[in-house]
Amino acid sequence: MLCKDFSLRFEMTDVTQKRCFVLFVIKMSQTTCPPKLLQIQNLKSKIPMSDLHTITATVNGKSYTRTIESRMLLSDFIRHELGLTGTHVGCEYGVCGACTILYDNHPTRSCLTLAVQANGHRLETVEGLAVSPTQLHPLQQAFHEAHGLQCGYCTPGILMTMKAFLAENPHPSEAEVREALSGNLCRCTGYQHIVDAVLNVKDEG
Amino acid sequence: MKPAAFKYIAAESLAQALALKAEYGDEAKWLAGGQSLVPAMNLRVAQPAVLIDLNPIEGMAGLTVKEKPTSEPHALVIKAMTRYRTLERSAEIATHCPLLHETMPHVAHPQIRNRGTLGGNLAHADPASELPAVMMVLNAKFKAQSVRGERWIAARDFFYTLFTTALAADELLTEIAIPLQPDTPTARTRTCFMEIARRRGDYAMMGVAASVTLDANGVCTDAQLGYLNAGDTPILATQAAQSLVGQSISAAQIQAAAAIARDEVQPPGNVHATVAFQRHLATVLTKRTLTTILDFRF
Repeated sequence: MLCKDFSLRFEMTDVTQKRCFVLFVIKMSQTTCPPKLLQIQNLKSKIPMSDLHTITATVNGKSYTRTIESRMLLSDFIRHELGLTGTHVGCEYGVCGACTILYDNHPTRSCLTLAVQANGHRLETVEGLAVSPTQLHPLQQAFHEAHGLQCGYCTPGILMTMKAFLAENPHPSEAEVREALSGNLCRCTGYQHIVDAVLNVKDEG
Repeated sequence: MKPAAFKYIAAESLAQALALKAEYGDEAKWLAGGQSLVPAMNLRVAQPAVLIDLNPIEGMAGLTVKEKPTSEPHALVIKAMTRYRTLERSAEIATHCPLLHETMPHVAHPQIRNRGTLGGNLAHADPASELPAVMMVLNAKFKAQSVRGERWIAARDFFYTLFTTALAADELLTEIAIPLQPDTPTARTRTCFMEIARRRGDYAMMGVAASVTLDANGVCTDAQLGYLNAGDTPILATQAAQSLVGQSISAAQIQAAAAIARDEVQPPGNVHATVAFQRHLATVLTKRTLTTILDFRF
């Protein structure tokens, strides 16, 4: 049973326009058992220091095999094990969208996925977009032309999100584009040029 | 911002998963979509010793509309590992369960909806989430399985308090059954979902799922009002809903029901929305959902 006389509370607050867990209030009443959190921490001696798994994943059409710890996030696997640093890490708890990649064609937060979960799956990162080193993907070209980025930190996540969005909905309205962008934070542009870029891709297509 | 060490087990079958959970109990957590668990692990709020990954198991996702004998309501049965994106795009859900269909785009962002699962959401039991409140309004039932067998738990008995449910340490939520209410000459049910969030996809400051059934004369025979982020569990405003039953609902009665609901919700308040503001939102959203239902949907 999951601690009926104990509850753990996440207080949602927002200091940076983001959803974040800030305050944990542990409410205990009539405690006959210690808090769940402490119980779990007391169990740490039983946890292996490193729980290693050998996985094979296809990234941008190329197969990679690595032995990694189960606690490694997919974002860190892509960046540190594979050296594909185009995937950016922003918040690491699923708010900012910078780490978005395609996991079996679907945009996914790579910071909310474990690297072991990529075993046998197909991933695509921003490095897989461009047709060649000299020819951008039409989506990248549209961002270039509409000035759809300033610092560029959020751009890889937005490109991967929009690639799948346009594949499913090739002729979106502006409202649909804004809705589809809701899971990606950009602190530079105010989004207008990003929306323009995505709509320009539509116009060409 | 990295998870603490744990032992990861990719379950190959439901039987194996249940046996593992029976062995490890509270030390192990199920890994479904991971869209709430992994951030909690990244923040080290959750430090499970063992993760049992349900994703590799075949046959734990999908949905069917069950045709039952005419004396019983039809049911929509959704397997627990069905992802939000499937629910969002399902023609069956759009046809048979419009409340769930209307709610899905409000659940987080597209990337989260590609991974998150209905069963994981309900077992996580976040009272600020949309789906627990919707399941209470729809009077859904949840199937819990363990090595000891299986049992059905009503949604209204499932949510104990924050992040705490009726599931035992060895149990897994495997199916969600929603009774359907097709139109009959004597009963027509219409529903509406609304929430107010500061940014689309963020946790709402307040949200309402409403359902109203009218008979052939336009008299209300049943009403349900469910609220999210309105207490330690999803909250049903039973007195507000009951005030509508037996009436041909007027604007004044909607106003009165909204005033009752205002006092029935128990919102926690936070930095974005004081308790008074959350209660105000509950009032406004109650009026809007009921007005929408009665104006446009019968």
